[in-house]
Amino acid sequence: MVGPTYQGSMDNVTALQKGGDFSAKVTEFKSEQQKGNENPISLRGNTMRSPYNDSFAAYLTEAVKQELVLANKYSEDSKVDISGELLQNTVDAAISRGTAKIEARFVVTNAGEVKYDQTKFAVHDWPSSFVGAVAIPRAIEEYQTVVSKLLNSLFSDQAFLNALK
Amino acid sequence: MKSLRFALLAMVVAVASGCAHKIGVAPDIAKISPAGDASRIDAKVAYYISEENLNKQVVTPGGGGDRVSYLPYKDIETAFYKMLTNVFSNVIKLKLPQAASTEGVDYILEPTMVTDSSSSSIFTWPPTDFKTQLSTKISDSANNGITTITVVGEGAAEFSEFKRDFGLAARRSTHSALMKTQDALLAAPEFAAKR
Repeated sequence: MVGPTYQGSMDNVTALQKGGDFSAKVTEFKSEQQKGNENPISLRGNTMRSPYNDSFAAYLTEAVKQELVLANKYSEDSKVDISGELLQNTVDAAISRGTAKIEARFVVTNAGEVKYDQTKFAVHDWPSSFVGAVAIPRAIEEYQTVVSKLLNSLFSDQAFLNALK
Repeated sequence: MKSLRFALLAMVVAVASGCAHKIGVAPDIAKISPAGDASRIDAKVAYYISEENLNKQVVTPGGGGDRVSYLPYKDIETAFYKMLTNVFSNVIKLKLPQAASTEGVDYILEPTMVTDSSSSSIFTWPPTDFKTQLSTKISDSANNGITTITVVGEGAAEFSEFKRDFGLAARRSTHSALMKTQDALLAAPEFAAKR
């Protein structure tokens, strides 16, 4: 299964808009496939693939870019660049509660100088089901929420917002 | 005999669970594109969706006697905002409608959604047809109603398409409703003075 495209969150857009006067561009995030950093994501014998080049690092890149575009803070010509690495990426469509975990390192540079380098983590859970035909589509739909939560923790970090200026 | 027993057990569990299948109804943000030949209306607007609506879960029919569930307002919120930024020069979100006076907005827009779904299949649960009625109430900054724009977006998807995206018919339907609303807002005589 291919997961749905990312939907920017208005809470995140608002946080960026209130973050001050800046613009930034985004460089493709990296990812090394290892235990706990799945691509594709395994779901009860099925797999969930990213809608962006079959890569969840590309999914995260697109998510950051989309939030900046919606907040009118994205510029290809900006000297400020956001990059990083996807470190953890899992979804568990368990019988009682489903859980998604994501962790990523975010780096902000201004004209090549590192201004911010921190790791953020988010977890999201939801009611699941014994029935796979109910639990799997639900887990696929919930994935974007954990990404949104991860970005919310980043955009709520004043040090990150200061690094963008 | 063993496999028949398992199939019957699975069916009983599915029915007994009473769960609806969760689908997403959000359209692809990248496809909420501005009208090519229209300039934006020079106005500051705010949209308002109540917390109650944002958390509202709707259940409608799918195929094979199953049902599908979704959060229509939460799912379209960002696309609704994107559509408004294609139409108006300045768009903000209001947490409370009373806050409009302090935000200095020209207009407040509040969407209301009515959705329905169906399927021509008795073997698969995702809907093959989805309908979204989107009404957008437009008020001035003092919350006096000016007009309401109502459109209907319809979406269809066949098995070969939705086996990769169970909510595809719904996404097409909400995309259609938002693009029709965009066209109607751009053509609305109520904004003539701001063009």
